Amino acid sequence: MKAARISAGVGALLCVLGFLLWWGPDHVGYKIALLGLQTAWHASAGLAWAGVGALLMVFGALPCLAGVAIIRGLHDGRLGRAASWGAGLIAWFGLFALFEPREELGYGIGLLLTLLGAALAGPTSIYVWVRSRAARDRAVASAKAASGTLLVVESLDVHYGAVHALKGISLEVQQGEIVTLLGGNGAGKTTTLRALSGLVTPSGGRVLLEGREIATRTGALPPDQIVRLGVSHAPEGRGIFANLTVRENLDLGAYQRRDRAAIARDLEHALTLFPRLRERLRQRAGTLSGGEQQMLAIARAMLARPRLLLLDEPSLCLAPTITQVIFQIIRDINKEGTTILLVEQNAHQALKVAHKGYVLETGEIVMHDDAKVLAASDEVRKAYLGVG
Amino acid sequence: MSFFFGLLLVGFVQGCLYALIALGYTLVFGILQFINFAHSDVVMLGAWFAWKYAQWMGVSFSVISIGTSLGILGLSVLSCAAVGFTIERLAYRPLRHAPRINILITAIGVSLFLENFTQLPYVFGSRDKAMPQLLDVYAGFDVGGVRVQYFQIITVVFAFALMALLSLLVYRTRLGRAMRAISFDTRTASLMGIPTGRVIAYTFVLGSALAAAAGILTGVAFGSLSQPSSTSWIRFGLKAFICAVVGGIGSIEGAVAGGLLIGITEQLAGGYISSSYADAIVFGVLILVLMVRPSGIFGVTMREKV
Repeated sequence: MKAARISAGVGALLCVLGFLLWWGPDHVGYKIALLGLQTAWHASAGLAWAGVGALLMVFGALPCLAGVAIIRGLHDGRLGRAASWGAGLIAWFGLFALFEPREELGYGIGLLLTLLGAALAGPTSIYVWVRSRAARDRAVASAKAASGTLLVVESLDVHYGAVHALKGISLEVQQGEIVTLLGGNGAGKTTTLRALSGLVTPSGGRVLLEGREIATRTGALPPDQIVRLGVSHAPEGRGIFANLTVRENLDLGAYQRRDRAAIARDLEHALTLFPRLRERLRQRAGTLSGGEQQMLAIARAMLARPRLLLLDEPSLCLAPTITQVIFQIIRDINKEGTTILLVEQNAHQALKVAHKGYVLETGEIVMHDDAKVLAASDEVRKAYLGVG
Repeated sequence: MSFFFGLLLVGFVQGCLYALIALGYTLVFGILQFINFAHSDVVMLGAWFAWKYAQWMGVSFSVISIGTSLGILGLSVLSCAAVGFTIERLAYRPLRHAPRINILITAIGVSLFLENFTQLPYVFGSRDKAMPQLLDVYAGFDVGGVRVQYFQIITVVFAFALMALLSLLVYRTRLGRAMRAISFDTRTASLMGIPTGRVIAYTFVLGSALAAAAGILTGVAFGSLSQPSSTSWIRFGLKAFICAVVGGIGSIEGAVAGGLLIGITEQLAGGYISSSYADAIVFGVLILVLMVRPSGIFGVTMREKV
């Protein structure tokens, strides 16, 4: 699919370039640049000409920009890489043709490029159109089928070099739930969240968000695109930008959003939830206490207005009273409709707020059940609650 | 006294040019924690592109109009920005997750490639060339015995305007905020939804554009261009790198302060002590500053990443 898109784009570009070369008087690109500059030269005599000159220069730059945009679009997958190299080569070739002094040759190449481009762009763009319509229909159908299930993880494997960190774990998160992932150090909790937010690529299995694949063995969406799909990850160790102010940290949370009014509303709301942050908006985030930094991390993740919030050990290294406050806020956020996947070592608190729990041990899920059932089970009580 | 002020003026102008280049080193270092050794070659490319475009437009060596000068300047800056983008895309991005030493060696490789590729006869050639006078360098006026050239004023104003624009961009805009976040922690920045690859590419584009501007101004000031792999280009870039280090690499204010300090020191040392020892004195300043403040004037102690 991606390859088809690329070839449609390259074809269209070839068409334009080739047509210019074939039809244009001679050395079109050079002429345009020259014309623009000469017009700019005349601009010292009259400002009106400057506008025209600038327009002409922009016009000359447009095909180049289109090329850059297309190459820019390809950054993952072997096919994409190959195609970007190909496009680069063709661009070089095109440039060569553009400055080719023997005119007949320039025209010949131009005509050839036009025909080649048309042959490439025509069929493939029809193919892309048909496929994308079919894909959209499928996506709508599968979203309908999966309504209620926000996140599905299917036998996910992650390797760090030779270390098998996750050994085929599967889990499901329903819309509106708090699901907690329990386990000791090195069980793979953080790795699971990293795989969900695109920081690590799985070596097997897949992750589905509302029926759409976001990570498979062949590749994961980059983190910024996963954020765009509505997954926000407050990482382990809080991930506060200590060199920025509290306000700038919060603004970064809403990086992908453009709706200023709604962002301002959400910021106001976050500051109502965390009044401590309001007092410190202009302070550098590095000067905050541990609890305040955790609040900032959660508030920042909320500003992305996520549908799924991934929280990694929000109670780590916090005093018990602050832990209470944080868990109360987690509950509040969930009541407002945000689904939460909560990784915790503090199993006692986590099972109190969660609807459902999974227990991870050395990369495998050993138990999963309703939170109440887990809290009452002997193994969990012994291993994680320090009872019995 | 007029001798002193004359040196001060020349040093100040030279310092502005160093600062423009040092900003490129510092921006890239701040974000990727590696020293882009190919940066001094982008400076060279800036000047040579200007020469090439002037050739294409049939500009002779006489003084030409402001419109054409600006056109050549703009085209050359754009070309260098494109070169910066391409270097990042083809040479550095594939190594994003490789050990730091690999990317350093690649940078040296890119630098050697640019120096030698551009010497090919159909690119710039391997001889020194005369730089067209985009502005009348000799026009000026006297203030108390000190000769002030219009060109120097233009250079200073232009450099400061660019620096002001850059700091506005870094401290006041969404892109700047993303750049500072990436410089602190790339991984977490990507979790904020920041397209880190694109922001890094923009950083290279910005740094290269500033370097091109500095290269052209230098070329015009000297009236001639050394051939692409000449040591004078390398020494020029190296001194700008020292400015970045003296000011505190990774810090924008530091690059400007370091540039002015080194530029003025160089001229004063050359005027009062000996021009053959000027370089040695500049390097001496580097050693002195690093002994007192190992992270540079404006540098902060590096946060160790765990």
